[in-house]
Amino acid sequence: MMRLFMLSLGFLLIGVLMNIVFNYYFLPVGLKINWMLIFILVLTFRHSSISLSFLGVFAGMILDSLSHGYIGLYGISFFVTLLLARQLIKLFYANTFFAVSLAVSVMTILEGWISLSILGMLETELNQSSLMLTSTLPLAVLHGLVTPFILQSVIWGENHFIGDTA
Amino acid sequence: MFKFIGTYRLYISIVATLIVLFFLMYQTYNEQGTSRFQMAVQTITYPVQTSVQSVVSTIKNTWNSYINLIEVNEENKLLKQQLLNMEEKLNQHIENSVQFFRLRSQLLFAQKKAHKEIFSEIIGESADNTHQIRLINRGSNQLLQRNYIVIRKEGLVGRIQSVSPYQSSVQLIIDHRSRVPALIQRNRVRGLIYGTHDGMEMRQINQHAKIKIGDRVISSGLGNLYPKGILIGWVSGINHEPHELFKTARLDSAVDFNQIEEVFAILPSKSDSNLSVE
Repeated sequence: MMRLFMLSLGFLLIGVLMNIVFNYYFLPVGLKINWMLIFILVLTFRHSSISLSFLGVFAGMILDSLSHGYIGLYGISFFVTLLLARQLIKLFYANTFFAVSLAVSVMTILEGWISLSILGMLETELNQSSLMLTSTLPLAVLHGLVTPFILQSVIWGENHFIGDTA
Repeated sequence: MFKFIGTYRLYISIVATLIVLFFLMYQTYNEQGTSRFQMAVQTITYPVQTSVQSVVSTIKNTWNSYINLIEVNEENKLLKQQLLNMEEKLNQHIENSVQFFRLRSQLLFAQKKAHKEIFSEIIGESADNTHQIRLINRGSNQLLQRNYIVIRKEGLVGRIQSVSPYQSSVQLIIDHRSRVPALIQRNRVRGLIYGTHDGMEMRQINQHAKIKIGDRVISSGLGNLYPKGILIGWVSGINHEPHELFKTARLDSAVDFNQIEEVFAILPSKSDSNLSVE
């Protein structure tokens, strides 16, 4: 359990690094990929540990700090999304590349909807439906395309750091 | 009681976490400052961002200067510089002539105050897709504060949203939360610049005002945040429905926000009352 937490923390830090560095220079279709969300979702689909949901809160708060500054907004959306993701994997087997990609895409849409809904309460002029169409949906597709690579690296990490328990 | 907590501790911790997060969010929304958590995250990420930015810009510069047609590049730089100078001069000329005809030039010249500008490099941007934020490599250690204005030679860039010791986040004027009081330079018609998801709009323009495509838009100085006379952009389209009280103009921004790498943060002089700083 401790090893899983440390591994998740490591992936989270890689996600932060990719979010602040990679996203500045690489913007496919003008959108910033949320690496932290993908990492934490993939880990949740594979392990469904509740500690990952709480780690997601931390990830969300880091993302809050690096964007609009309302600390807690992404924390809430990540937390709720990861809690729902834990329930989702009880419904269907999400451990193949395709299934995980699909699940990550669906969860990205859900996370986007939650964060935009909360943001809409704080910023009344925000055009939520437009942002859902122009930002969240294409991002969900992008996340789905990127997920196999993340899943592969997570499996690699598990094999090296968790070993037989993975 | 303890049995109840023991049985439902997971649900209790989930609810408690959500309550704490909502409270935090509400607090940071109301205070509109830089929270300690945000300051800590920005301080920790600063070395990574600056070192990567430094490596990338070194590679970029090497590529541009030595491999990619040195002379053409230099000439291009020179011409762009000249163009910027001409643009600035033109802006000053138009502004001065309008003020002259309105017999206010002497007064305005007398009121001009010396500002200190701090050169800053952009080292990152907002981690999400919803906000237009850029991170600069100057912070409270360089005397920057929230709400200081950020400009480029081409025009207005935005304002400082939050500061940490080594870096600050700048809210661009195209961010959907941004509002800049502005006026059309030619006929002094007032309006308010709203950031939109894909650019800027000048709203709340009097329905009888005569504006045309290509009109220059500058900051009006109202609201005590943005100084007067900074170029914002040009009118690129006008929208007015007969039943609406106001006109709306779409704007092309003077600054190409996709290309900016360096900006100047303005430090107000002590006697300056134009900038309201928290």
